[in-house]
Amino acid sequence: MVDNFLQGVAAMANFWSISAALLGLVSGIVIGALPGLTATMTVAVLTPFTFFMAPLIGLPFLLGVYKGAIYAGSIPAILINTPGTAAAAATTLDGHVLAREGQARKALLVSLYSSVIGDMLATIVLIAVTAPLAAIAIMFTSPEFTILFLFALTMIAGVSGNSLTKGLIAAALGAWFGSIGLDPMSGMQRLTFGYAELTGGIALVPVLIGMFALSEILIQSEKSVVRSIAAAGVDDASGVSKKEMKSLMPTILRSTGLGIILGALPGLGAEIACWLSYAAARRHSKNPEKFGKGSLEGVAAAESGNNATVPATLIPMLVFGIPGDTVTAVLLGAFMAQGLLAGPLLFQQHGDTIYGLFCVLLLTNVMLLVFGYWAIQYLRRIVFIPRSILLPCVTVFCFAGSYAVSSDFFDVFVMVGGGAAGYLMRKADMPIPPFVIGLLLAPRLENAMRQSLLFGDGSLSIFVTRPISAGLLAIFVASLGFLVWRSFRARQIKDATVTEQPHDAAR
Amino acid sequence: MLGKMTRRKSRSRRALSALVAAFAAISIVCAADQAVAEYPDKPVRLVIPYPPGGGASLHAGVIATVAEPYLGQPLIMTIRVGGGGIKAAEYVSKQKADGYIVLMGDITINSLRPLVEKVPFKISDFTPIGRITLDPLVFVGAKNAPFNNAKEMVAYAKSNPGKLVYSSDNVNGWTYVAFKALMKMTGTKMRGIEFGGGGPAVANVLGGHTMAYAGAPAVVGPHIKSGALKPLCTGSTKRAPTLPKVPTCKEEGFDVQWEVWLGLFVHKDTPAPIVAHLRKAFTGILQDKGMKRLIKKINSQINHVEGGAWVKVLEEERKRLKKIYE
Amino acid sequence: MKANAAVGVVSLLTGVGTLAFLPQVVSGETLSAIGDPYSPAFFPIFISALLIVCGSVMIVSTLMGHAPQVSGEGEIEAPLRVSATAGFIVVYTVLIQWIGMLIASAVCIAGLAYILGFRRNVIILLAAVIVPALIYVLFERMLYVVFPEPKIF
Repeated sequence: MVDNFLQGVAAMANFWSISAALLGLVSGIVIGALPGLTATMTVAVLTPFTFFMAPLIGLPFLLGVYKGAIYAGSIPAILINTPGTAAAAATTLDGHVLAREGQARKALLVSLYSSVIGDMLATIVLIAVTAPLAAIAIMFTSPEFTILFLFALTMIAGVSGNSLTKGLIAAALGAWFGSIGLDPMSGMQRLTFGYAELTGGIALVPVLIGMFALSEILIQSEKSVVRSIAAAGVDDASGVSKKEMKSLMPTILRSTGLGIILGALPGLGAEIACWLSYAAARRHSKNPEKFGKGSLEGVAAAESGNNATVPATLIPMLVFGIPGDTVTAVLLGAFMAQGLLAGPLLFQQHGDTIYGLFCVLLLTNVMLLVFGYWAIQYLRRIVFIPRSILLPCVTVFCFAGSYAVSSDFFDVFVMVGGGAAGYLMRKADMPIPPFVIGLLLAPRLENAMRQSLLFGDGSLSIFVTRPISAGLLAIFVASLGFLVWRSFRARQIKDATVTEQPHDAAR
Repeated sequence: MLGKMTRRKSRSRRALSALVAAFAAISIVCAADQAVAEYPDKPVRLVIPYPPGGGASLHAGVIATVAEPYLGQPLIMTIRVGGGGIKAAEYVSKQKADGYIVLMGDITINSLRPLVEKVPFKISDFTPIGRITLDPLVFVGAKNAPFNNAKEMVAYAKSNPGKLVYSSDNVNGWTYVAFKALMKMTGTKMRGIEFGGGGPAVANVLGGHTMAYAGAPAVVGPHIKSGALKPLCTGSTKRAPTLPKVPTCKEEGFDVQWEVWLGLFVHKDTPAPIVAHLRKAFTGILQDKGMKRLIKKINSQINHVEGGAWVKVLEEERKRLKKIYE
Repeated sequence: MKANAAVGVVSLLTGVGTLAFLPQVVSGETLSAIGDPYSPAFFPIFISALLIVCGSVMIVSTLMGHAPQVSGEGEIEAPLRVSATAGFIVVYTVLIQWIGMLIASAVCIAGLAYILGFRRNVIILLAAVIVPALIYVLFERMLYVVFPEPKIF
């Protein structure tokens, strides 16, 4: 392995490969930071261009785009409360609060550092233990995925708002909308009410943009003076101290671990890892009440969690030729076009190229760190632009972005609908992330549930007879119990303080 | 005198009308001809029915890369997923028949499913332009499966009806039909789990959660070579070139012939000159040197049949398909 | 309290509605399809059950005074400006189809900025020109996304 590694380093250490990676990274960051343009779309559009390029140029470029886009989703999440990609949804909870308090730079830097550290560690794990990790990943199938998805949705419902019930309602409604269209197994129409446009279902990106960004302009239009995002007079350009980063390391390590495991499972992704990391961080934090109100731990957990999935998703792809999500599917295609057939023979036949690529991944992290640090000093000023001009410009981009998904104007209507719905949800204090993730996960959860029943020949016992599934079920039940208990406790404390006051007043 | 004048006037009026009519007729013919002669004057869109990363988008990407010099305009990929490919076909069948939208179809979308299911279009809604690939599906078994070759698999299925669980893709999808044909030919009952696509289907058979699968040689080949999957048989008349050691199902005793193809179609009302232009262009594209190089890289091979000839091949095929479903 | 109750009611109604109209909304399936993995109604039934349960819990806990307070109690401040903003966005949606993405976007930026109280006209003008131009370059030129042709030209 070591000579392959050294050969790889030698192959990569040339001007063209590095430039390709840097160009990809910068393009990816620009794309990922614009709400509506996703990593998937960009990678899909740019892939055919790489067919005629040498592998050590085309592939670093695409990997750079992917990484840049996943990181950059956190930028609008922090600055304008709109995640650039669904994976950055958890970052909005605390990141944007910090931006409003004038601490945009700190939030952006914590997000950058956490992303880079998480990605770095995950890449090292990718290089060192690909095969064993892949072997474990392949042990997961439908029953395990069912429990994982239910677990993830419940956690998201519990930590993204102040009411588990409202969160679950949001998740269920999102899943309801996610069922619209054609049934994945039988192809029969569902909930389409006869509209041909709905047979394709409701696309995620327009809903994401609408519910976060468009609802924002409606919410802000209520305020009598539509000022800038950061309160006037508050300009904290301070960075992040070593001490602060050190205190965040346990959170980052834990989230990275979760991200690696979740990323290695084919089918799951960054969108879920950020939430499970966030929930775990809140559980283990010394200041859980700060979560949702500007906790740096929250930002660090979400960002290191989602970025750690990036190298990890390459594991099932490289070892088995199984794409985990759409982007890896496209990457798989690009690899194939370069003659790198993913699968068991890949490391034997093309070991040096693969290890060269790993080097590129590590190098891209460093470039990300440098470029990000430089870009943040300009990006952070966005919070000082008055919302009254910023949001109209964002709105226009949202329309363009949602149309761009499938060149279908219907998606624009979906986005506008999402905006109205998001506005109403925010007025009712119903959290938006569970809805969006419910919409995203519905088809996968449904498939997993139905396949599980088929595995078990109609019986539910399959969930407890399989060891991994039973273990996950136990964790799920325990966590759910914890969430419910915690909300009872909160209510008890509230009732106790209420009943004490009249007593004091009477004295 | 007045009478003569009116007669002259009506004659010249008639001549004038005739001239105008002739001029109009000529202009209309010219305009139509212009429209065709100027085709294509804007980029042509290629609609792909399956999610990116799969065989369809891979081949489409390769074609799109070499297309421009042959077509005269760039070829742009548009992905329309849904209903296992049905949505893309429905979309193309409802667009203007001006030759600017080409559908990348396959055997299930364009031949099988309209025959056996209710879909929102008819086979005759499309005019074939040309076939791109033709591949057999190879049956494979999981490493821990209780059989080691095709004969043993059938024997196991016969003595354990409903117990053999295989990874399937979609109802009436590539793998689904392969096993349906196998079950019909051997008179066995096997249970399939639909995973929605090749990726999860392969993952499950690799992990030993299911016992068998049927996939393209490019997909299952590496796993056979590494020993992760057991080869059973190939569903075609001759052995797959990349897997010469794997016997055909016919050699093993059951004549299962299931070869899947990808091909290009346009709306049935597309004018004949445009269809001819497209057929000629794609024949050129598929013989292009760069194309051949790229296709080899994605471990596939071109199996081109040009539009006109292909129509006959398709008719034969549909007859065969109906038999599997009787 | 009103907002929380509304949430609960919406949830309950959606769940009950879906189950009640199951044959119409899911290609002829009925409730007998519970637990049948091959039925397209399998998942909608599951989700509807979840909506009914959670909706009921929400309504009950609201009536018992246990649900957390909704900040601002769901009241809409400045309903006029909110309606104007929402209305203008709808107008923009229509305009894109009639006069094309670029011009409609310029109008949208100018209009929304004005509704939201921004008065520095030079900046509005600059934004209304630069942003649509950026969109054109990024989407039409680089990503091959062709916006719909305006209907009046």
